[in-house]
Amino acid sequence: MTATTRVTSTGGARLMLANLQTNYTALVELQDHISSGKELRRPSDSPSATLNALEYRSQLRRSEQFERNTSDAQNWLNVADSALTTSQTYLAKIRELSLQGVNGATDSKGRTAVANEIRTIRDSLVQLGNTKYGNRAIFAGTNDTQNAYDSSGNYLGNTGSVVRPLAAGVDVQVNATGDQVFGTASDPGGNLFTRLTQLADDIANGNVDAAKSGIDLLDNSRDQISGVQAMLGARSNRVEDILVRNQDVTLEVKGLLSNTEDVDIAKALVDLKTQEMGYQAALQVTAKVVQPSLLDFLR
Amino acid sequence: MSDFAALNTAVSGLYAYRRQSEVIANNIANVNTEGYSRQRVDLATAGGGAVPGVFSKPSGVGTGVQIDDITRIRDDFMEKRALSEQAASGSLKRQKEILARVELTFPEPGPNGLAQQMAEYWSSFDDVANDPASEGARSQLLERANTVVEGFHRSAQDLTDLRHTSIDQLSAITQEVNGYSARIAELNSSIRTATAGGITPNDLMDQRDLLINKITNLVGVSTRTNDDGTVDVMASGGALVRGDRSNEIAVATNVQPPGQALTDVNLQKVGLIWTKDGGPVVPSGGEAHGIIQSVNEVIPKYLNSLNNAARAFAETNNAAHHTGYDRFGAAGGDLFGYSPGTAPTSPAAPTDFASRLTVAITDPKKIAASSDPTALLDGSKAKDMAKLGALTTGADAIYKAMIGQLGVDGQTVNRRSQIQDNVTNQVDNARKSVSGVNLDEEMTNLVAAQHAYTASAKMISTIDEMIQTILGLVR
Repeated sequence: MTATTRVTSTGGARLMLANLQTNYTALVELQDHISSGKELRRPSDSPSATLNALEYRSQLRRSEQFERNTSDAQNWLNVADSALTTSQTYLAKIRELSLQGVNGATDSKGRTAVANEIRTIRDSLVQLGNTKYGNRAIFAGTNDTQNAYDSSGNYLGNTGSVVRPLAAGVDVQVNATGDQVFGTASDPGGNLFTRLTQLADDIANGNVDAAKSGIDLLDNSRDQISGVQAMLGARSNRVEDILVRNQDVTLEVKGLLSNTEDVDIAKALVDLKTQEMGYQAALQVTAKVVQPSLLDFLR
Repeated sequence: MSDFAALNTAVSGLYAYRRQSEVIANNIANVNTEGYSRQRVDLATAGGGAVPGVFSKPSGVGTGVQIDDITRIRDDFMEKRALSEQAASGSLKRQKEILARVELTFPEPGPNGLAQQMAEYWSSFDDVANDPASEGARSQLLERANTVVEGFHRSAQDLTDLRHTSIDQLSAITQEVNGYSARIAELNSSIRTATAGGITPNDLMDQRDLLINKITNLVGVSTRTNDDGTVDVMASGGALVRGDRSNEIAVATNVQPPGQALTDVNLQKVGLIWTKDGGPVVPSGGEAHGIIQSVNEVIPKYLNSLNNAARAFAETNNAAHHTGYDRFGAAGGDLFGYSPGTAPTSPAAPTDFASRLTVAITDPKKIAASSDPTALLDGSKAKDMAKLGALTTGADAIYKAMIGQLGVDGQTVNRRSQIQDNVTNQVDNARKSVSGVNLDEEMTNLVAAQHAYTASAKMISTIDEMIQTILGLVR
């Protein structure tokens, strides 16, 4: 304050009161910070920190959403992968059976039995083609249909891709369409299910040559499925990496947000103690100074 | 010179010091009275006769002490300076208060702010994209859209309410000012009468100065002292008080610069006018200045930004939504609308978009999540819309820029107010250091007056003894 030549009683008191109030305001401010746990309570506390906090908050929303998207993507890929692994087992079984069927030692009764078994497994494969995640047929592309295949093995889906955004600018396709996995109707011998129906019929009818070329086609289908599996596996690895990174990002942004918004308790407590001491000292001095006047010293 | 003349001289001392102790008592009694200026007795020697008579000539000895005047001690320059500093303080105090209220309107940064609500809204597009068939994800999206819309409504409403309460306060201030003006005019009249009668009405003048201090806090005034003891109080080139007459002021709520007709009532400007002729009063400071500044500049600024954000929000959403297809394969309609009214067709002046924003659809199936009318489980449109929040020209960006601006404005006005308060305090202290009462000083003066009184009394008894001596000679 200014050096005034003449200090008056009210002026002095006012000055001390103003100083006490400054001290007390600082004290209350600190208590407020500690009790709310927030360093940043309104934009004017620090405009730049506020903007950072807003940015971190929307980043946090985004990265939490990315995490959800990533786990959704993982589920899609896992469900497809296990369906395809099972279909490989079935196809291996069919191949074994059909080799048995074209073997000259098998009689017509045995062939019929083999053909029937192939038909049963084929039905199971159609079921696999209709595998669902949630309520959605994962091999049906983006078509709004209950099943990807009808009971005779006709494709009901489309070629649409299902894509998940997993990070800023990173979109990953998480589906493989039925056409990609099991072949299309325009392929030689049709898709896998048509091929299997034909193969079973050929075996039942004893058309050994046709059955043998049917087995070759079957091998082509198995290769195709393996190819898709490899592709999905690679994607799954990628998604796994992205998930770990997303979790890191979320943690990091949470840390940044907390650094920006939250009170450093240790520092705040030390500040509070210091401020309390200052306030008490000011109170004591005020009490001492306000009291005496010349009146006390005149008789 | 007779022996008795010395008696008179001593008696004049008794009177003077008696009066001085009365004034000291008055000072001490008023040590805590607001606006009181300490008073001092101006003493002067009463000269002896200076003109030689026919049979005698003056001895050249004075005839005692006389009281010239009882004056208020104050520094007029400081008083005038304090008027303008107090006006600046009053203005900033109000600006600070109103900006703090604006800040309360936007609870940022925090989980209840619009920024977070919009982020959550955008993020629920991803949930729809992940499962376009899910009614739940779609309903949640609509729910969050409604939350954002309510956020816009509430903020706009808060700002509008703030505007109204501020105008109410302004109106209360004009009434207060009018009351003060009338009382100052009355005091002027009494002071003039007293002055004409040769009395110095110190207490009335103190009261008047106190009222002028109060009035400058409200509208920012300057003063002019007239020869007859009256003071004119001027504001914006006109006179609130001239002599014993006062002029009233009032609030005008639709003060437009010429050629600028604003249809949005919330953006209309307010001002003060003279009641007698409707002429404008532009306060140079004071609380009225702070309120007018806030109502005309600050609140509309944030209301406009909020409206721009609401408009950008509706437009970016609708534009993207129109290119998508809903669960029925139909092209997406408007996701957001305005009620009442429709979207602006051309770059219109900012108007109350924020308070009129509504969610245009109620059926969750009508959210156009697909980019392909035949692939109804495609979620790529929703996936793309989730990214709209990151647009640099979008609502989020406009809103964040506004919050940044709000923070800077708040900080600036807080700092300015703090500095101004310091200056005002200093000037006030400097002023008080002249006019305020110091008890120590008064007690010292009292001791001096008491001793002088005692000495004067002693003089009388001494002269009495001298006269006794003379009388004893003739016994």
